[in-house]
Amino acid sequence: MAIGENDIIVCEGVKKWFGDFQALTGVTTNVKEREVVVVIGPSGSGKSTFIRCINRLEQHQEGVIAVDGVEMTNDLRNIEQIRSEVGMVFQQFNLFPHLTILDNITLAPIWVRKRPKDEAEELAMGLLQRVGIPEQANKYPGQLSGGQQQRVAIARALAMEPKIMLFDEPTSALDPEMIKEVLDVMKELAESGMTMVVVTHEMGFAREVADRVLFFDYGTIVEEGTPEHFFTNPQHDRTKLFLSQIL
Amino acid sequence: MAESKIVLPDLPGAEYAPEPPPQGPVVWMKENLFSTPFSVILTIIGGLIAVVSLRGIFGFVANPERIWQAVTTNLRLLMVQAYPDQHMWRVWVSIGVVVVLTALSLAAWRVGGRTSGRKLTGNVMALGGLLAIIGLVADFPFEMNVTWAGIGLALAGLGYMIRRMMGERAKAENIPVLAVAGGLLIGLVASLWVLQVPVPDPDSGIRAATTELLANTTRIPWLLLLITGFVAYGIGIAIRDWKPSRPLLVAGWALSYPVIFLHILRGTRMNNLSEYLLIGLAFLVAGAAIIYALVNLDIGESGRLISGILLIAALVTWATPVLIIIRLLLLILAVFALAAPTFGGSGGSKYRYMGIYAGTVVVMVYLMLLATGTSAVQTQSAVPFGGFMITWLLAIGAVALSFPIGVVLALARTSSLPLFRVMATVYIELVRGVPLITWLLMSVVVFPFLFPEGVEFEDVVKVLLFFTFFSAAYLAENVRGGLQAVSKGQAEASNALGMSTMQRTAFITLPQALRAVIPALVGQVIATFKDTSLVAIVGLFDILLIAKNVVPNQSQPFNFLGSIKENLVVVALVYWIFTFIFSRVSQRIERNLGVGER
Ligand SMILES: Nc1ncnc2c1ncn2[C@@H]1O[C@H](COP(=O)(O)OP(=O)(O)O)[C@@H](O)[C@H]1O
Ligand SMILES: [Mg+2]
Repeated sequence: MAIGENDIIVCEGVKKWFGDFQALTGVTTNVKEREVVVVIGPSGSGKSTFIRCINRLEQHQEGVIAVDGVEMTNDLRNIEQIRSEVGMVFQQFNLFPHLTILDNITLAPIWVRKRPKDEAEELAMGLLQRVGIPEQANKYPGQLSGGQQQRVAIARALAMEPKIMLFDEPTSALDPEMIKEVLDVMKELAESGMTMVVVTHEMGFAREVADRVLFFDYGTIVEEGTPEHFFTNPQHDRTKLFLSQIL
Repeated sequence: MAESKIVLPDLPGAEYAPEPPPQGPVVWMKENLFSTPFSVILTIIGGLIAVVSLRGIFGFVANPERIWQAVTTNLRLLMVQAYPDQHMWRVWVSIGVVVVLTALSLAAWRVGGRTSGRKLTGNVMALGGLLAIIGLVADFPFEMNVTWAGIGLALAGLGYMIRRMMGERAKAENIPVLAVAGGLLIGLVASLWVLQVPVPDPDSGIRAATTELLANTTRIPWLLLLITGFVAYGIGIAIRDWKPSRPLLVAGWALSYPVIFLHILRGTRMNNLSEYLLIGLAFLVAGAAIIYALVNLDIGESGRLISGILLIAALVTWATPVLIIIRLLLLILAVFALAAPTFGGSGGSKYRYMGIYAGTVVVMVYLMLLATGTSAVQTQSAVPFGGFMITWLLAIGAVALSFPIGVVLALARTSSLPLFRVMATVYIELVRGVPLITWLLMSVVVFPFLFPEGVEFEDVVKVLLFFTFFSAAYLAENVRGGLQAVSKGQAEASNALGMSTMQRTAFITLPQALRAVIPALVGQVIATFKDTSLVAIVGLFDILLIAKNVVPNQSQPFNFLGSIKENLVVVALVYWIFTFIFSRVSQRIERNLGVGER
């Protein structure tokens, strides 16, 4: 695949095995700057594995992944640099339970980005404002609702001022009444021009926000296209089956 | 329709949970002791066992054959053994340091909840009831039964009266726990002015002729300590909003052990003062310059090179006869240089980092001055430490020193580098595979051969080192358990934020792991505290050996021959009291750390 000028993520023939089990069977796709890509597919199809390879929480064994022009190799400094430019939001929030909300957000900017503490705190308060919960700054994660925790997790990732944000089923662990508050934050983020790769089962979000949808099955992209294409005129039998089950 | 108005139902206001119906003691007994025929039988059996044990225990205590004077007369021997008279002030100053630090910390961390009059009077009533029961069943001389039962009933009655007088107010949780504790301490110290013990009469055998105050020589120091504690608490309240007060207190606690042990109690004379100060100064200046360069100038790869060379140089010196202080300072500098890019940060934090380096150098020079000096406290025996004092010095020293070693071992054992993993595993399995008593014997017998000629340690220090190495191995396993309990998501989240392995360990994994293993760590403190009694095996006179071998063999000036039972009972009681306090304190810490967490 040709590398376009503003392709910020490049994946070519990415393969990944867990022992003998092949989780990714050759993924090839590029993500442009400011693009919002939604990844859907049945459980166990390799969606998480794919986006975790993008910031090297998993190592792929074959193929090429390059982020912002830097190819993913085993060089440790390479990895830390890429990671500080790629924010990630997990299904289980993974906030640091022993730190306050403010400390959760400022820890990495202070120690990884080497920002002065007061500057980092100012930035953090601004982000908490943006996700709508500035009044929770001095609480601990355990004192917040799931939706609030996930919004803090988004603020924590944004505090590193990443170029790309990865979301792995950010609303799947939430009670229904909290899903919207998190999706609203993500929509606002997409509108602001952030490059995003989002694994989700929220078809409404995909339809409204995505520039492109990837359908994963058996460790590879079975079908890709715009949301209209997907929800009105899917081509592949597996895609049709999946959509009929989920919609 | 003119105006539509939605009428919302009134929300009910929050109410207190209804009070359980008042229960008399009869109802309580019926529900808890005699609910079924089977429980009636169990209650009767349990009650009989309790009565028989109480009778036995207190009969033993009150038996006229008991020579309790053997304990009261030898209190000082049991506590500090042969520590010289003219140096006793050192012991009091040491306790004073601990009292001041404790009082300041209580203020700085705002320790202390509130309790209600109901709970307080409940405790008084329970204590009174216990005394009364003892008075009723114990195998005492008759007058004593009456006295105890009387005191117990009076106490219980007093508690009941106070509760009645307080009425509804007794339910409010408005009495500060610390005030109650302070009151108890005042009461305890005041009792030193009235508690009388019999004085044995040397002429007519051991039976008492007169009585004197139990705390004849110590009541004034205890009073001074009490006042010091209250004053320090007041100062603590005044300065607790000052930001550095907590970090300073933590540093104070960390330093208190070497200061008390080596500087105050051992009275070390610093023989190498000027030489060591010069060396320290040189390292301060050179080290600050190097670290400044590493965190400020953008020197990239050559920075790593410099720290690498420093580390190799530091390691090489350990194979040469260079002064130990220089080897240590070089190692510290190398470690700080290596970690500089990780923790140096920017803005204020790089000066804080240099400050921490400077502090470490100063502390290390001070410790080495103490370690190489000679003791000013001379006794007939080689060691100026004995009695309950040595129990504390060994227990606290072993726990404090083994803590960092244990953490490093645990990290090494879970590290991804096979060399570290193997070394840590071998160490831990080796240490845990041999009984402590064997290690202690070897510490005195075998240890000297392991050291280069000319290096001489007092037996206490050898034993302390072996205790440390031993407890570090167990601690490492506890901490490892904590590390494994930290969820994988935590490491992934820190990785995703670009943190390095060192940062992840220091800020995320280790703090969570240590919190998770507090109960195990306290268990270890208690075990070490009790295990110190094993030092008797290498001839150190701790409280147990004195109680078992020394006091029961005294025939001059008083005849305490054969008083071993009394002594052992008292020693057991002393151990139990402190162990009980430890576990209570740890429960509180656990509860406080749990606040606001999942
Ligand atoms: N750490 C792992 N070890 C072994 N197998 C794994 C591991 N992680 C994921 N897998 C397997 O890889 C496949 C893809 O997983 P995943 O990417 O999590 O799927 P999805 O996110 O689409 O549900 C699954 O069959 C899963 O069992
Ligand atoms: Mg998944």
